[in-house]
Amino acid sequence: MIIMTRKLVAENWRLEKARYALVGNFCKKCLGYHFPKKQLCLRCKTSEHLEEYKFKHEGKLLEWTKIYDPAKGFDFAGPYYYCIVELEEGIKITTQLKYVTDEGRLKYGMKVKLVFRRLFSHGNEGLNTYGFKAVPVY
Amino acid sequence: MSSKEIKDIGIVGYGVYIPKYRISVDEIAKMWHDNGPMMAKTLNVTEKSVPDLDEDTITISVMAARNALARADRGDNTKNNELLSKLGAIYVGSESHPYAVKPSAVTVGEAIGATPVMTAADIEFACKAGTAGLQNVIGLVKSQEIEYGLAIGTDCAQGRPGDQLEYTAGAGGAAFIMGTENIIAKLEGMYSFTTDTPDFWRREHARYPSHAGRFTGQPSYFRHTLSATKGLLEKLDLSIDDFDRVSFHQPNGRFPIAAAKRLSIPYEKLEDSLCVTKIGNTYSAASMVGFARQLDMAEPGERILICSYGSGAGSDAFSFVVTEEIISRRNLAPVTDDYIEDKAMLSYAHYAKHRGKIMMS
Ligand SMILES: [Zn+2]
Repeated sequence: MIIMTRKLVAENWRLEKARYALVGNFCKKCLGYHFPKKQLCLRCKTSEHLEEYKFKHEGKLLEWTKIYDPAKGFDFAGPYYYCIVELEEGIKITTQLKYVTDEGRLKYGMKVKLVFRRLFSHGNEGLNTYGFKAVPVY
Repeated sequence: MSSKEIKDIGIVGYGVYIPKYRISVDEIAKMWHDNGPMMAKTLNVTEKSVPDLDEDTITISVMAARNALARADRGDNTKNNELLSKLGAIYVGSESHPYAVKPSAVTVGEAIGATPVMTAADIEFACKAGTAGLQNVIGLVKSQEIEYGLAIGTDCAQGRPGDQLEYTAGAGGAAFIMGTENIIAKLEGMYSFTTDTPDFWRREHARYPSHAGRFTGQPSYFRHTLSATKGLLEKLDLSIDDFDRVSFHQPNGRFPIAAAKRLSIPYEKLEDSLCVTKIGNTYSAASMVGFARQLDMAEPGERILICSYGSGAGSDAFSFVVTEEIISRRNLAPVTDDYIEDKAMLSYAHYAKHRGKIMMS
């Protein structure tokens, strides 16, 4: 149990810049974006041309699905929607889709914005994990 | 920068955030077999804001701070990075920080990208923690220790089920970035009035606050609010007629109206600040959200008074004069009414789930 907690703490800390502020990188040579941050450009196989890049909190909705049987720890939130968002820069991310009261109003390619939310609480005494979730823009 | 003269200090960015969900006073009254319409009339509150299942004081702070930054960077993202590198302090005032130990302010700093060269702390003083943070930031900017500072007042207030407070305890946040350049509203001065007055408290580990009923009125809210306001007027050699707009702390919809009346302030000067009637008491955010809504509507040259009140007890009063900058900046982020009007109503059962009153294990 302690090992598990430690792992979560490390993961939390390692990913927080990506989750909190959408920090990734941009390669000036191949003009490619990476998210979350990579040590090397996967195409150019070097870190030489990489610079830190903050992605915009906007994108378009590519896919969505309704989760009726939430994973452990998310039972409180169910049922909820999960989706794939393509950020303006072309990077695809998966996240929860909020405020879907009428699924008929969701459209492929519609604009979504990313908001800051609590992703998970590790019990009553553990850490809270924070990050982004998507909200449809009608 | 130490050799420079001290310039005008003021607000360079402001932003609010209010969760989407509401519960009506009527719906709460039904649960406890109270008279809803009567309760709404007594409190002058019809609905209150409720945080989403995944919202807390930290998430609300981040959303408000991002809105403040959008106004501060004047629509230019490159200025955003420059401003963030000069943002030297973040204070988050709240009585509902998610952690007893681990600052909310560091998550805000990381999420907006202001870390690591900055100072940060959480502040608690019931409903005036936000303005206490504002004072800290003003002090640091004025002494030229930092160029920009961010103060946030925010809460996800809890009221004991069935208690009078349950009808009003809301959720929201307001963020203010203070600096010396491109000021939206210039600070003229501040004044505080503080005593040990036990009208409202919550002990460590207690889930809900306790309060002293009627004692929260005259010796507490009114004495401190009126004294701080009068003190500020005297300090700045101004009369209440010199102010075009005011925002007081709003624990319910009646107290600020009564306070204004006792200071001979016409209702019209207070009216635009009264968010409490639609979103309830947002505690540390309340006077600041009211002030933000005044800024949403103010004309250049108008003078605005903001006076907070925090139980325990104290009030911080400030005077600001709005500049021409307000015109081009207020629409760079959602205004207060965008949040107030974008709402979804909850039943008492869903509200209970949202406020963690249903245990899954
Ligand atoms: Zn590359």
